[in-house]
Amino acid sequence: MRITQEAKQQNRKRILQVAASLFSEQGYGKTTTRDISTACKMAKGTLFNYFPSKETLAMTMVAEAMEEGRERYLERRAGEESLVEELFLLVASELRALRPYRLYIGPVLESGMSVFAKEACCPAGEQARRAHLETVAAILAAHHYELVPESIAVTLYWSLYLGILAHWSKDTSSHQQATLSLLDYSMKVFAVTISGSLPEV
Amino acid sequence: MHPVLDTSLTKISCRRIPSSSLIRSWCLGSTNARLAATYISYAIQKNFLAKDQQELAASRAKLKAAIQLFGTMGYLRGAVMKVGQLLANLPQVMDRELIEIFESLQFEAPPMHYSLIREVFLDELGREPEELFASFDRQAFAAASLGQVHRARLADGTRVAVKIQYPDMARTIESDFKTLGLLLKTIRFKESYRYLFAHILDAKEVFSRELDYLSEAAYMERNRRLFAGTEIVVPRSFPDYSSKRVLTMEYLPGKHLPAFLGADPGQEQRNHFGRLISLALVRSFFRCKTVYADLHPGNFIFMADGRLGFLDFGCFRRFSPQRWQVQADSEEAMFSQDQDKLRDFLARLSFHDSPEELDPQWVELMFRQIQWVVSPITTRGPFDFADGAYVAEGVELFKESLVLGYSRTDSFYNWLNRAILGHRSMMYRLGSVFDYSRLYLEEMRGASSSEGSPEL
Repeated sequence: MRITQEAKQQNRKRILQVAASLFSEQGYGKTTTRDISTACKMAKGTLFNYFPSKETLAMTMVAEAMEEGRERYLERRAGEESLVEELFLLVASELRALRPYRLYIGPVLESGMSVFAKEACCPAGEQARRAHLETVAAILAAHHYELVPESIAVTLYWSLYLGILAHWSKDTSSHQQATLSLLDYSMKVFAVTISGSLPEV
Repeated sequence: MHPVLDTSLTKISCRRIPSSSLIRSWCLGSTNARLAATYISYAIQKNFLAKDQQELAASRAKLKAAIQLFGTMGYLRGAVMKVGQLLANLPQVMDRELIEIFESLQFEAPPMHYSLIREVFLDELGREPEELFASFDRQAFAAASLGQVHRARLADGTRVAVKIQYPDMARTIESDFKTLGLLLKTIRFKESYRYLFAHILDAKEVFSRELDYLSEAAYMERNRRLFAGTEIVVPRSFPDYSSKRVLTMEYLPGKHLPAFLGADPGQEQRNHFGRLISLALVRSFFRCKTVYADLHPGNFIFMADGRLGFLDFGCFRRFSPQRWQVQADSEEAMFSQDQDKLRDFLARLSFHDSPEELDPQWVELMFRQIQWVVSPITTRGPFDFADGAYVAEGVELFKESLVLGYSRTDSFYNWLNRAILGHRSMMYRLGSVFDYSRLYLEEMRGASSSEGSPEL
């Protein structure tokens, strides 16, 4: 039976929603693709037509939230922010969009966006990384800096970024305030490094 | 602003507020922090104080030390900055140029940028500042030890001041006190250790409570009722725009102490504001049975129409009924100069079973201190708080108590001392001369006659 593009989109959306609630309820590690397909009332093979693995599925979820966060950042930016402030705004907007996935984002990023991997193990992770870095590059360009792909600056930024996410995923402070401090500090460190001087804050 | 301070501020503003004890201990290991640690020990109690530390001799060296300390405090913020504010109130131990530097600490601490503030608002109130307010100044106009203050306007046009707490302050304070605890361990075999430790725990409790702006708003409202109909204005708070970490209150236009003094006010104005500041302290003491422990210049606004703005109600300590009774008995003994009763009071204050157990040297010093504290009350008619002999005596007594390093007292004694020294130093700087005795005794009687009436 052929299914329409619209129905495909609906199925995909449904799988993501069901998986998100299963990850929250029983934990990312304990949730299997069988659990997800059963809860979606579909065959496991059908699920694989949409997502080849649990990791890809979860990474897609995270990547979509990151994209939503970046959209929110674009709406929120006033255009008068300093470099540090703007980078802060970008990451903070992403973190806010990622909140529903916070408790299990660690293992998802480990498999989908590791700093050790030359390329992320799934296209969704790699795409999310590229999209995020493109936004960072645009911010830097607006402040007269250039972010050269594969440069040390990119590695530094990406390490800081993943470090922030790692800290955030386990942050027990109210509203993850400690992560806000870390984020602020990290963006200042990055700005100092690329400018070779004190940033305007 | 002083160019050295300006550079220092820029550097500080690029640093994260360190909140892990490890980082903070490391900071405390730096040159700056050794100075900071010395000052902390001044404030907590006297045992850390090396004798030669009192010889912060040459003015130049002091200034340098203060700038280094300022840098460290700006970085550590939290409880350490509280200590900085406390020290600014002690002309007895610091000369004027140091006080001026500490004042910049009170008003010009490194700010949070607006993107960070937006996140705090979303977390605390679910909306961005510009969604909540008709207008909101992105730049802070004042900084406090635990937060910074922005001007804003409500939809109905009311001008407000919005205090926003720095992120992760609870852990910052926690780790400050952990560091102090570590420093204290070096004297853990001394008899005074457990008393010092108790003081630290007590201070931690008070400073931690200061993190809850809703509790501050409640106490502020209580004081608003208390000072209704006087020339003391306590700002109204706006609960719909406030949370545990955001406090929105009425904006009070006016000057802080340095700007007020900079305009070279006449003696009558100096006396007038001295009287009002004293009324603020004494009335809240007698009517609320609390010690207002944050009596520093940053918390008062000298308004153009002669009213005094009384701000910031986060840091206070409330007496238990039993402790209040001890206090009331002691006041009676002080005024009547009843030495036996005073000895009884000192025994209770220092956890001794009887006055015979007291250290005679300490008792002798305390008698002289009590005399100094009550002399503005026992002197009938105008009292000159800027009188050189009175100030010099206070300095001498303070130095003596530092050398003696006696810490076996209950924690209330610390807060009372802090409030009294804060008051005397502000009166000294204002150069106020007025009938303090009358004000104090009237408030004391007024409070007794209102006993049993509904709580404010």
